[in-house]
Amino acid sequence: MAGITAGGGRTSGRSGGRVVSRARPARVPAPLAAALLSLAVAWVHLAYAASHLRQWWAYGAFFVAAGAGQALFAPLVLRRPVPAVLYAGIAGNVAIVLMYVLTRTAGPPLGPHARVPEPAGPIDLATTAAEIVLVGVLLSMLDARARRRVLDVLVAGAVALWALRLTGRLP
Amino acid sequence: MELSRRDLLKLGFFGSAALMLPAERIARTQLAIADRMPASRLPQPFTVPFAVPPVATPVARTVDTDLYSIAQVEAPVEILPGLKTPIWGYNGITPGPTIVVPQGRKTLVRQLCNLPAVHPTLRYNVWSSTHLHGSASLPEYDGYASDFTNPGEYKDYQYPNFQNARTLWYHDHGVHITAPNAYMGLAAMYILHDQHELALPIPHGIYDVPLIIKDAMFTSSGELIFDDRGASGMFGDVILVNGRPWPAMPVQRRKYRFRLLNASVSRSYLLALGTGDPFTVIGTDGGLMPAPAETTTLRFGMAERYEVIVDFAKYPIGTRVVLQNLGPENNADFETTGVVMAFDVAADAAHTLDNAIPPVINPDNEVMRLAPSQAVTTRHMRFKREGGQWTIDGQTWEDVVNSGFTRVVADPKLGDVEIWELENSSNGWFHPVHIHLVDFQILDRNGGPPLPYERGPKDVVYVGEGETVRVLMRFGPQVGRYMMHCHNLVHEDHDMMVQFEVGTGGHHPIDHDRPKHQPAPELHGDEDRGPGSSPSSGPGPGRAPAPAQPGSPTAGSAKPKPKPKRKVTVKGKKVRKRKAKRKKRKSRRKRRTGSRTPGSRR
Repeated sequence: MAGITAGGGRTSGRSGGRVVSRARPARVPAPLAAALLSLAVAWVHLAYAASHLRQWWAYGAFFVAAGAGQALFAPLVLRRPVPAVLYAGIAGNVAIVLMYVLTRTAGPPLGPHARVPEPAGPIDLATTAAEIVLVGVLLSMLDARARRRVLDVLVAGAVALWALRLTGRLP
Repeated sequence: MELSRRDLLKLGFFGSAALMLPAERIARTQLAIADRMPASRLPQPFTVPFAVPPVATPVARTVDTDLYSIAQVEAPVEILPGLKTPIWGYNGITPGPTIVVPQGRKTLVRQLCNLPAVHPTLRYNVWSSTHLHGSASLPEYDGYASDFTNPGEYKDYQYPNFQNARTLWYHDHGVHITAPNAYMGLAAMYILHDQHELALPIPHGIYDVPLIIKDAMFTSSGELIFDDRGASGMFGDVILVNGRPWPAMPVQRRKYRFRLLNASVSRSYLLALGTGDPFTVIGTDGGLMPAPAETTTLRFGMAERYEVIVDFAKYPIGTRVVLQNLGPENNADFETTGVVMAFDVAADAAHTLDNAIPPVINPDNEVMRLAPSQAVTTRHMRFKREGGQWTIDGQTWEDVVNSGFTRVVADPKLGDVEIWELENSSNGWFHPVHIHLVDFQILDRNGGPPLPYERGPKDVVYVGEGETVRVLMRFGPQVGRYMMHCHNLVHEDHDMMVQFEVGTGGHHPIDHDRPKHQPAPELHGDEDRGPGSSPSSGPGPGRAPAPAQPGSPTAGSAKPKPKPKRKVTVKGKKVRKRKAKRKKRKSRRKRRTGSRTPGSRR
């Protein structure tokens, strides 16, 4: 994630067997980036909670839960960026992204709009993109092995989604 | 720690699924719009010959019921010359086959949903619900939006046909997808005759012609494009009449009666003859008007029906009379949508019978004889866009669903006369409002009189920009929950729909008769058909209908009516099982009693 670092503003690199110090533009520390992204997507979910609550209490509840979870995650990841918190952030955001894909393809599983896909719009697409970036930032804070494991799971999920779509099982 | 290139690729792959799958549907629509057939490649107006949808034939008949079986299927049809357009049609055609029935004869229409599970381009899950628009059907046969039939299922709709002569239509009403379903072609006419109408000297037979008007938009390869412009409306650049683009109809020098139906999803029309001559409106949604109304323009909202008489006698042979669309406000007009079709005066009249417009047509229509003083309640309903939603009095169909289908906006008693004030305070859109079950009389528009051609029984009223329209109606003859909604089908799908309940104890609109899985059992007529009940002897179109049975419901009657008896024989598993059980019981009884016959003694 260019511009985001899990450490500080300067990094060192190896060149021709010598360790050299390279000046890089100031970077946002990863926990801060994650917190800001999480707050941004939380704001969107909370802003749209009322209109979804109007449609059905459970739709609204999902938005409130998603928004509140993301809002609370921001200080948590700033103060305690430990693996358990990072895993929770990744799992929560991936779940929200998957629910989004479901509602825009097969439609919400329950409620007055059950099985009716909602059209995707610029705001929700941008929010989902931000959530994917947030997952990437959180991944960058994990150690290499854990990160690889999580990414393999994400790839498997994406393969499954594309397979469902290409076989027509996902409208 | 930073993400490696491989990590980024993996994350990007996940992101592609998360973003591209949802965006695919919008992309498809945008690509289709970009690929819209240019006006230069559309057929020139009046070059395609006119056609009339075929009349449906019953698959069987019983003493009092005609049985139809209609399959909703996808089929390629030639709408634009030389191109095949995939449509969804009743029996694979659009408009579907016209059902013609005399008053007093019931119909059972089996709707087999054989549509694809997913719409091919819009990618939504498909279901259907069939509404016979203009019929006072029982709640479970009214095409209740949430009473939907999934692909692979069927439903037997039963229609009483006790109302007076009128032009009805059957069309899709599936919750949230009515607009694209109807746009794909699920719409057809249904004509109810009665003795009074048939006895009038107005044009009948080949001079009584359906004109089902609809707009559509096509890609360069002929596929339909559905673009609801952000849930506001679907407007096409091609005007179809009976499924043909801007057709030309040869006419004789005499009067014709045209049954106009606006089957468009969102487009209203302002119809006028290119000659500027007046034409005569003799019927509205609920049948013939008390008296004819002459007009030079006709504002024509979605789902409205008007019966108009055009007299071509005054035109010399060779004259072309164009039916124009002057375009009411708040429609998306194209350079091609200003004309609808043409009438080519081709011959002198072959028949001069039934070539009149009586000064009084239908003076005894009960709805038109209602007086505002009979109303026991006045209700006010506001049709409004608020919070990004289309609402009626702040309510939507979501509220109905969330209440378990119990929430109602009105609960008139059976037989109550009420005034409803329908308000559209916006200037940005119009709402043709359809109240199911009832016919109503338009009392006024913004306090002024209704348009002259609206002075007949109606079930859809054009509530224009900044208008408040008062309508008067008697609730009945059925009890139960019925829908009211905007007939801009895009508005309806985005929840501008509510329900009211007439009386108490009505059938549940969903649970009372649910769709069943196919294969459907065969439909059979009466096996022991007596004389006079054979298919050929029943009153058919154009013939005098059988007189209604004593005590049978008549249009507008507010008396509670018993549920129409089902005399239909559906031979299937259940019937066979029942018969076997009866046989078993009989033989058991025989064993118990010996082979006793009446009068035998032990």
